[in-house]
Amino acid sequence: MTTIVAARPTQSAKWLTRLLYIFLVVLIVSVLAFSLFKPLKVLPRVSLAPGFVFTNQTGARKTSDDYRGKLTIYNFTYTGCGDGCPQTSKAMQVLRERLSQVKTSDAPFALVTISLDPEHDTPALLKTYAAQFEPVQSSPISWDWLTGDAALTKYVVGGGFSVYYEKPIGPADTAIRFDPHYVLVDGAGIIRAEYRSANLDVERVMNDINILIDEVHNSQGAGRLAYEAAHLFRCYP
Amino acid sequence: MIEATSASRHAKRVLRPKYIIAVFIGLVVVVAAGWLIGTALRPYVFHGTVLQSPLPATNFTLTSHNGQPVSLSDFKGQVVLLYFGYTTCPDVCPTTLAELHKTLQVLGTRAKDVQVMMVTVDPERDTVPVLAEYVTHFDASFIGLTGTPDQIAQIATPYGVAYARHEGDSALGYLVDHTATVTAIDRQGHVRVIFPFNTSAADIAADVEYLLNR
Repeated sequence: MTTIVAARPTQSAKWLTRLLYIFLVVLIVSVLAFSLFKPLKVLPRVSLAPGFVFTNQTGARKTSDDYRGKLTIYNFTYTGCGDGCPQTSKAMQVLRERLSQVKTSDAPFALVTISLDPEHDTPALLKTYAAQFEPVQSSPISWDWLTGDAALTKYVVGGGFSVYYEKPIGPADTAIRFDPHYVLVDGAGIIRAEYRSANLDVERVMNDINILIDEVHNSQGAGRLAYEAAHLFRCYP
Repeated sequence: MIEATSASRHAKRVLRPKYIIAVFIGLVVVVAAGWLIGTALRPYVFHGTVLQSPLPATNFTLTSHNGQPVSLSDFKGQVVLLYFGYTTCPDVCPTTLAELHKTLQVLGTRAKDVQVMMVTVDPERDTVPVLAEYVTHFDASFIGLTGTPDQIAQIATPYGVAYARHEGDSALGYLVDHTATVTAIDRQGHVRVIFPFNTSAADIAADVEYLLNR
């Protein structure tokens, strides 16, 4: 009888345990809610974008460092890309138009096309080829067409951006075979999204870009903590 | 009957302050516990740019400043701070290497689990003896690495490093423009943190210490 009385918790201890239980439940529910409902959406930090030094269509030297601080969209093609070849630059043109309507001071954009045929595609050739994708009125968003060393191209495009492409050896067939591929790189030089499709879903890309803009805009001070938590809980769209 | 009621009323009055104290203490304990759990669960915020879903770092084998072949994979279990530079670099490289030396000093005894490496982006001029004199000047533990121009190009690319010769009117001949970031590779061999140029030794050390504790 006496032992039972001693084991029975006092009024204050009872309340204490009750409150602790409530606190734990609230904590677990909020962690679950964060990972389930994903109040913040972030794009994964996939991997480092490759470093490169190429020449653009005007003959200017362009390095990967020139695109730091900008949200950059890459595609890969060559000037001989004709019928039966994935027209990725058309999608880039549409994207450029959409991006020029985005009102933001935080995230300047850049478009970059890297030639898969650097031995043939000179800056002058690229300039002529790029002209067909130029809008009537000049766009505020830069679009660089890059070419350079063939070995470096292989390391950058094949290795860094993991794009499969193959140049035939025979003289009869000059078509380069490649998988259509677009890459979204953030201002810190990290790949945030890859799109492997001949028909780029522009809405999806714009959605991803808006997520990145929000992250750049809101991740300061306490906001950064929330965004790091979102990365930790993999709140991906 | 009347007596009993007044007695129970009296008992209630006595209980009330006790109850208030219990709730008060309970609240204090809950807030304290909440604060403690909150700080314990709070994710560490890196000073550099962190890669959340890290891929294994690209392995490489180059010649060290001792003339020995050195691979990145030899340093599993250690945090590697990888930097691309060259010995005739006028300002950026000495600043960064000095800061990395300071980082090791800040880390103290834990510095033994950290390896600083500089891969030259100027393999033509940075021969083994030149590298040996240069890197050990900053810190005896630093490793300088060199290889063929093609090897270097192949390794710099996946680490997001761009470099190109720049014919300057410097007395030292040409310059090499290059990306000046420092890459931290964790003990499991994943690229984890990128430090932009001018990150302080204290900030690098804090991030490295966090990586060492994982």
